[in-house]
Amino acid sequence: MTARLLALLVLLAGLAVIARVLVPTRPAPPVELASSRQCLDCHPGVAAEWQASHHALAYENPEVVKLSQNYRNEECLACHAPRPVLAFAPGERVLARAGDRSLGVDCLACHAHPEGGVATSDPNPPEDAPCRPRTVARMASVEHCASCHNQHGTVDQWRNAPAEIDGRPIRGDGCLHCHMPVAWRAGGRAGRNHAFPAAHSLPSLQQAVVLRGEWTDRPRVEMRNVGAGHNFPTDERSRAADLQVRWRRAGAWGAWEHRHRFRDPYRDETDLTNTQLPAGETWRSELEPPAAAEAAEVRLLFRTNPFQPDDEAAEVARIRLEPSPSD
Amino acid sequence: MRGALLLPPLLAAACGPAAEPAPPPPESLPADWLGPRVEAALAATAADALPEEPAFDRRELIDLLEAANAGGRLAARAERRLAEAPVPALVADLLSVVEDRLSSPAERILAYDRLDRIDLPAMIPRLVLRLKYEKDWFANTFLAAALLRQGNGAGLEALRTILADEEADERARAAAAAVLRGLPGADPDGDFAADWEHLLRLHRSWQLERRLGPDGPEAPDDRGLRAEVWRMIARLRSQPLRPVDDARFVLSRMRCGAVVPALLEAARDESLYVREGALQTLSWIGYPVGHWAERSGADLLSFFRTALRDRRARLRVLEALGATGSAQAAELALPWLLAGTRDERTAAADALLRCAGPGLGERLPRPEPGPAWSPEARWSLALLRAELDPTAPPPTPPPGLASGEQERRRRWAAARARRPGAG
Repeated sequence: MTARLLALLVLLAGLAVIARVLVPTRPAPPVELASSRQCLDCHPGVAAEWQASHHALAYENPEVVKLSQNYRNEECLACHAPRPVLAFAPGERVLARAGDRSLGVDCLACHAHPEGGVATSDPNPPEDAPCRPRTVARMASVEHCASCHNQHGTVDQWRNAPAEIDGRPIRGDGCLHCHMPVAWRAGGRAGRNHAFPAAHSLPSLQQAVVLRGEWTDRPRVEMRNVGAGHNFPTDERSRAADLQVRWRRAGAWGAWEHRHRFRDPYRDETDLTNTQLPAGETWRSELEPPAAAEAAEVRLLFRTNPFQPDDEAAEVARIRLEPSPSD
Repeated sequence: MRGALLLPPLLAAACGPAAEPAPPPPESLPADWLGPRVEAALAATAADALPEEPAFDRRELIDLLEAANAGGRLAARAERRLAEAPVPALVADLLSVVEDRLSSPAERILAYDRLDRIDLPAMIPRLVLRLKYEKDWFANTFLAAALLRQGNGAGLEALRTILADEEADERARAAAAAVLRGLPGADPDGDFAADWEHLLRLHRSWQLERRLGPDGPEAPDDRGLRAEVWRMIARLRSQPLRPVDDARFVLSRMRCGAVVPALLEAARDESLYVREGALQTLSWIGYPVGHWAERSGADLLSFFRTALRDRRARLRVLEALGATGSAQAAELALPWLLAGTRDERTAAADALLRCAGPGLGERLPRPEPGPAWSPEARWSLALLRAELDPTAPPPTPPPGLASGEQERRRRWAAARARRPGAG
């Protein structure tokens, strides 16, 4: 009896092993994605990057809140709290969603697949993940970003930019080249950085332009857009880059003086013209030194809005010019 | 047998929580509901639109306008010359002057002043758009006067702002006060204080009903105006948002009879962008649409009933349904609150906050914690419950709700007393 029981147990154990080997593991049940808050638990690394990004801040950014009168101007909602982009034709504009607006440009805005689950540019997505990822080539395309980012012409500027400057590729293979560089995930898997470095990142700004100058017969200054891949600054209305100059006389530096503004004015600023610096182009100017000037400093300030005070703007570059000895 | 009875619940348990009630039947739209509405309307009204060919050379036109103000024989000759031009062509030329960013304020004022002497409703949409871009306060008084002459009160806000700002340009304030004297229904013996009160009354009436006074005339049935309204609606198709913004700005600042029938038609266009834009504009106009429907007998309910079957535009249909404020329409929103997607529930909750009558309180669900309900939906339902039950404790905003969305819904709650049929 004991031997029979033992044999039966061995048989059952064997069957269990065979079943384990032959019967495929059931994937985790699919999750119906209603809110991007559901994504954060399984993707903490990406979530942390995104939460520090201006996509996460898109709705609650105080500057946007102010300019839109706390979204009484509903025009702004479409791109600052969009529905899933993939529900629209490639490159066509998105429309505003009804709920979870505080999440801004959230996970589902870019990743929700219109037929359920999520989209990824990963060619080999895990089949058993609860969010059922599937490969969608458009995820890595310029058109995916264009739905919002071409509203002020940035993608068109990129399309018209030269492929390379001084032998260095500038356009890359799209927006991701600069704004979603490769990031290594747990297990050595390559992913994309979801912090979206751009105008709020000083290193990004410093890669975009080069400020140079010389003082031979007269002080001269030039600024070249060598790395933006689109106009500098891009975007309408909000962004402004100012060149300022100050002079040293009798050993003391004077106050900063405004020299030039790079900016695309808002549509109702009818007295201004677009002075953005397109990719690959150079802006040049001669400076008029005051009497007894010993040296000049030129700096480039980047403002996220044209009214931002100097001490809140990002100083992208600063150069010093002194008369060359021959003069 | 008993095992067989147990099986379905067990299976259901294995699949996750019990399913929500099914959404309303997935009816498809009637075959003729969507179509090329904008194309058809543009073709049908093309002959009535303002001409694109100029009647005058621009410099000549400015010279004539200046001469006409100079007096004497020169003025008489200029007036004769202006009178010889077809009125729609002259109006189109004058509008080109005020729309040209290179025109000086003085030139624009000459053009506004001339427009103020012409009866042609077709000018209204493009003139309203000037309210968005005209930055010169003195010119704004002429613009507001020209609009008032056409029965449009969208410029009243500018007059109010200019007069209320004691530091404003004195010339602009004097011009605004002169416009006040000529407001429709103004007391000819009244002083400035009486004129000011009259301005506020007209402004309130415009805000509430898009009419100049409770008995103000409805929009004229004018072919040229209809053509220009459709040209404005056609801008909703644009991918760049600027033309869309302009169209929504204009269409939401006109008398309802001139725009609402066209917007309802456009809400059936084959382009989702046109449908969304048209429905959103109806929402922006809001309760005046409902008041207009009551006056005109327009059947908004039938429209919304069918339009809700438009899956892609449903969020906007719910928004428009709520914004126009009919308590009967609340019945159409309720099923989507009970069994729609998360975004549909949000849109339905928002709609109900704006239009639900007192009878709905007991039928409102109490959202469970979890992802099925957005913070916006929770807040709308909480505010609505507080509105329907004055004894309920004041609601507190749910976590994760942006301040702008809190405020937006508080404004909707505060405006409920003005909804059609609220008494």
